[in-house]
Amino acid sequence: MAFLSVFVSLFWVIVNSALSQHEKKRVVLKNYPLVTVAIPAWNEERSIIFTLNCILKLDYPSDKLEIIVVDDKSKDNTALVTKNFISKHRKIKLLRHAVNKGKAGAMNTALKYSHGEFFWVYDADSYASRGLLKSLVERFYAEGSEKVGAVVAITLIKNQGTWVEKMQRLEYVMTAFMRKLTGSTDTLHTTNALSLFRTEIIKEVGGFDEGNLTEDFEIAMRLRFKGYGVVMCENGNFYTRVPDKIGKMWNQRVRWFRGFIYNILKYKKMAFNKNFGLLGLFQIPLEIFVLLSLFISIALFGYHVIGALINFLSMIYIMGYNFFDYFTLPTFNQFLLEFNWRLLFPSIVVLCSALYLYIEAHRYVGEKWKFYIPSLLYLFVYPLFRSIQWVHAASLEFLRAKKKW
Amino acid sequence: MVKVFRKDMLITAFLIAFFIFLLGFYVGKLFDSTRLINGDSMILDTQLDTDSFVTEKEFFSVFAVQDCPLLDKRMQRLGENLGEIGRTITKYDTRSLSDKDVYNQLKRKYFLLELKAYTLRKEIADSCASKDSNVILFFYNTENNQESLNQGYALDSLVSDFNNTIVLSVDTEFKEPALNSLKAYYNITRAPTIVLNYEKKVEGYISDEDIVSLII
Repeated sequence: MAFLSVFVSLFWVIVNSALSQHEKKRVVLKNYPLVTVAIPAWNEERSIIFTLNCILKLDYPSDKLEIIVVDDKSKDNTALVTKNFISKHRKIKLLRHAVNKGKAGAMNTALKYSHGEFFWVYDADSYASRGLLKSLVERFYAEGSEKVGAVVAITLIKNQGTWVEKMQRLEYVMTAFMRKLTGSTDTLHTTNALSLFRTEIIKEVGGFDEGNLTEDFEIAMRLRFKGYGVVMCENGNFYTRVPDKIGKMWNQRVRWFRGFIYNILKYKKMAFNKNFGLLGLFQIPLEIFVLLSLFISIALFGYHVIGALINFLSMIYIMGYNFFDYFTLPTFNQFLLEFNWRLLFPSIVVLCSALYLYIEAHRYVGEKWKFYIPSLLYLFVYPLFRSIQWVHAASLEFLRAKKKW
Repeated sequence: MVKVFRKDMLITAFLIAFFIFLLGFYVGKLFDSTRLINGDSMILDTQLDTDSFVTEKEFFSVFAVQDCPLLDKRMQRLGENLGEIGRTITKYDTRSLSDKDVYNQLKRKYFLLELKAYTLRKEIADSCASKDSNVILFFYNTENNQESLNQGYALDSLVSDFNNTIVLSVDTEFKEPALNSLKAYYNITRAPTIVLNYEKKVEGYISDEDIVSLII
């Protein structure tokens, strides 16, 4: 596991340094194609107007935008609020579900009525930077391939008030950067809230998977499985709202992780399959291996932690005040000889690589890098929680527990 | 986006990672040999102390000089040194990269030295009829035996409170003929077991307060 950590972190450092030697190419189009903007909305009466205004203010030819709001049987006044708004903006369509079908269902409804060459999923709790849509469309043309199914945008966090939100800020920065790296090695296999799809391809592969906990991950896996590319767009970004409380964050992550496990098993044929290039031979096996190692590590860690805790408590209970005499500072010589040198070198390499990637990630998304308490919590405490979330997700998936969004 | 992946990137990362592990292994080995030298040197020092002690005791015996407080004091120091060696060797053992046999040799030397110290302590106790200090023989087991660990803590606590107490620890699983004789003599069948001042044997965990009540 230690060897794998060193190997993988070095690999990404090498990829990033190779990438930094290339200049970014940008294609500017004379005529932009028609884009269908699909907004799945469920109980969004408070945010839908803001979302629609953001879309209308985008730096994109207005006659090339087809906006479809799908009200997924909201319990609030989403439909009414939208209806009032679109009475002044005729190009916006409102479609209403008679029953709640979930986000994927709403996207499929929009897909059915879309006329755009490209299909842009626009989450109602997110908003894009003004130039994002142009960048996403240009990215399709820059790639110069009809086989690109989706373009993924950089996601950043809108709300950064609580420490839970600040902690996620770092996670989103790192995720965006890792997507850039996986994109540059053709191993990107996920989409996100504001990804742009080629309509024809999405229709061809059967639309979005209704009932899937992470339909954005599933559609990316399906695109890759069917031989289509998923690429990263480096210009422009969008902001999303993240859970502000630990409980909400927990539920969201468990849902994501359940979705990951389900979909990775669904597309297990891709693992160790040379037809999928580096994705099949390296990235997916690596993710499966990391996941399996994580479960084994948690079991071993739990066993050792419980053992050490029992031992420590016994020591305090038995020794009482003499407990403090037990610990004496080692001399320099003792420290040198008793230190675990075997782990020092790999740990230094992993830490240095992580620091390098951390700084590079901030440079990539255009934010200043800084260390503060939430960052430290994210780096050193959150992994433990995340491990437990993985176990929680795996057990729910194993027990076929009811899916909750 | 530019596709930058080349196979040699994977190979380079693998080779660098391999080199780093090799380097870590080499440095670990270097420190390991230093640990062995250090452990050996600690044992040699204590062996010399023991020899010096034996020579002094013989001198007193031949010239009919009786200096029990001095012998007690030296014996106490010898016991403390042995405790330190025991702790050091245990720590080194967990960091060891070398063949276990090399560490077992060190441990063997250490246990033999303990046995020798125990015998000498008994001789002094008999000849001086001294009741000022206590010796505890502690038989333990290293294989996930929480009871042995707890007994170790209770004995550490006891030594913190009573400076005149020496604890000599014996691993019941260690293969050494001389230790087998000791185990057979006291009929040691389980760990932890302690023998207080050569006679009182207590099987199973016993708290430091209970030990005090037995030795006073």
